[in-house]
Amino acid sequence: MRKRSILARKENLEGYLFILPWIIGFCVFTAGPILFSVFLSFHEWHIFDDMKWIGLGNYKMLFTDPLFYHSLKVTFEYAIINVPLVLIVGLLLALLLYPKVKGTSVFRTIFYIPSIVPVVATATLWIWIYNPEYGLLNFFLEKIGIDGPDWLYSTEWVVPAIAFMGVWTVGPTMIIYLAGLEDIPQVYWDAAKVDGANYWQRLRYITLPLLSPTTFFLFITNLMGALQTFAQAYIMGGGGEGFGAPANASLFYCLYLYEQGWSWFNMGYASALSWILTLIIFVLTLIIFKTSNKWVYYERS
Amino acid sequence: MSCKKFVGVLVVVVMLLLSVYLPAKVFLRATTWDEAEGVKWIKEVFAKYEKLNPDVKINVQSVTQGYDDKIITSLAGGTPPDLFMWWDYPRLASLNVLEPIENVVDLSKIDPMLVKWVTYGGHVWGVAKDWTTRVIWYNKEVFDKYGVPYPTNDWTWEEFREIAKKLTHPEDKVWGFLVSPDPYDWEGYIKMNGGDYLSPDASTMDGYLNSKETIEAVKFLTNLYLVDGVSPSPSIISASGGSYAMFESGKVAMIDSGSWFIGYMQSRHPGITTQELAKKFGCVFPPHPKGKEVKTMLHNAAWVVPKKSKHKEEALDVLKFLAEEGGRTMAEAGWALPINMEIAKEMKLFDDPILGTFLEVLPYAVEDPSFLKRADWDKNFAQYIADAFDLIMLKKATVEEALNKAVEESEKALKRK
Repeated sequence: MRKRSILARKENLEGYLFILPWIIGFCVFTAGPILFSVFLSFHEWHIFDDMKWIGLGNYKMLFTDPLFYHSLKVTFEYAIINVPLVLIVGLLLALLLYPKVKGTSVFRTIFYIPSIVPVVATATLWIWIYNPEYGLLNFFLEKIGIDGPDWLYSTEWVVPAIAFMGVWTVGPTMIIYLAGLEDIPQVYWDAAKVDGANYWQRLRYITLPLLSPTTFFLFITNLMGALQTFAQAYIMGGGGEGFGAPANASLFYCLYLYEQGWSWFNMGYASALSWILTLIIFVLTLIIFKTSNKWVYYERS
Repeated sequence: MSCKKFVGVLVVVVMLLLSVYLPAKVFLRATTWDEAEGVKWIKEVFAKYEKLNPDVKINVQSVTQGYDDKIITSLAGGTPPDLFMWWDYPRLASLNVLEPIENVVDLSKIDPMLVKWVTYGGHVWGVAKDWTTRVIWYNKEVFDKYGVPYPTNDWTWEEFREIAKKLTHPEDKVWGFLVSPDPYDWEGYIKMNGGDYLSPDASTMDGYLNSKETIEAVKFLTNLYLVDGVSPSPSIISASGGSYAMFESGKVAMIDSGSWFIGYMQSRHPGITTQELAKKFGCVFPPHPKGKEVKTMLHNAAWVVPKKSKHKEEALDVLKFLAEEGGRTMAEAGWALPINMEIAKEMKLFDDPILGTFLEVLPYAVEDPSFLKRADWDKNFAQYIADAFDLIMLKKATVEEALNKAVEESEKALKRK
């Protein structure tokens, strides 16, 4: 017994040694800055001057800042369109790619490929798709008699346009749904089939409820991602005009945060903004968790 | 002692002696946003300095992506380059990270306007390297095609507008002028109409940005797009490869720009001279309101030295040399305009069909540009003006509404801090 425990302890130690580089990296490059930003959010600091303690000053100022509310609104508008869209399209693709027929893996790969393209490339590509004169989208809309808007240079359409683009990177959502589908025992469907349930009934009463834990997970992670959207907006706003173009219509929360930090050097204020976002995400996740027992079914229960 | 050992010891001793008696070389780091061709000429200029000062070696570093952020983080980290290119002097000067140079460098040979445009808070912060005034470029082929006579330096806003209309031919996808709203680029038009962005004491935009004269100027510019339709839309411009591509190919007859178009053409047609360029393109002063004097904006990038430079003395000495050199090397290479007007005269640049206009209009540059009046110009003023221009161009607000809103938001922002 004694010998084993020494061995176990030694193995423990070795284990820690192996992950030590990661732990050091995490502390220096992740945990450290995170803690520092808490500290910063209570200060006024413009990089070159001395830090000035202002207590809750930054947080108070935030509530009188119209751009704070505006950027929050823009971000939520994006999330409300983007998250359900990505979940629905991801699920539909997964359902299409689930049956084991010849070439399934090829299609799975094809649908996943856009997700590995860097977001900068995707965004640049979509600037072209959305171009009102030469873009593919308006070309097709014209074919069916719709006069498409100037997507990225219109205050009404720029956020929906960026949200629609999210469908392009639906790959990871699709893959996780596929994994969820694989987990559902075949016998459930077989039994239902024997009982005379058609495809839609099986989908509605077996597949969707059994996928609800997957949906739950994807809903939370996609929502978190959506609220932190940065690169797409940074590149696509106003068709590449820059920050929040046109007229702040695409000023996402994280863009505003970045602007405060790096254009205006309000590091304290930017830190406060980022912690408020963290808080908002935390509260939303908590709400989703609390309501989850109403719509998420686990097989064991 | 063996022979080998002896040689070894000798080498070490000689090296030690050398390191004591030979002056150590000072390595300076110079950072620029210029790319290949521009860097080549910077190196050429620095090579002349190195020849005169053999103990100094200047390494040129070119940063083409995220230039501002990189400079600022290096300044914050206390490891800035010894000299670097900059243009937004108030932003850094107000942070107290730049070295004022007026007491060290002899500025008397540099054109006074170029010195004025690197002055903020009573100090001079750099030696101009690249500068350009804004002019109207016109494509002669488009003018010839539609039988419109070439413009002259004394043209008025009304004449400009009529010419732009005559050159606009939607059936050929040709537009007369390219309207691209920008608070900086448009300041000249506003000032020449007697308007302004800021009050003389620089405390507010109220009564200035929303004054009759400013509104009139902004209406003149935006109506070219909104009413007369002489300009392509922003998405057409970006899809057509940008303003220069459209201008070069004759889709747009006139653009308001600096001398950068020369560089653009040189990169596409290596070795092209301004004489050759003038066969197809011309430059004139910006148009002015009838009975008023023309004004133009200046873009003036300069070499600056940070307070925390490791070799401040040597870096300042390089600036002294650059002021003395007057931009001759780059002017002779046809890469940039000289900063010493004596050199321009000597090289007969005033007679150059293209460069002449840039030089002649320099005395008409705005004397007191807004960005040099306040360090928080971008943050508390310019961004609201840019939003206002956007709203006007999108027809979301009238000129009066948009500019009043900008004033209001700027006032609110000033109160918040």
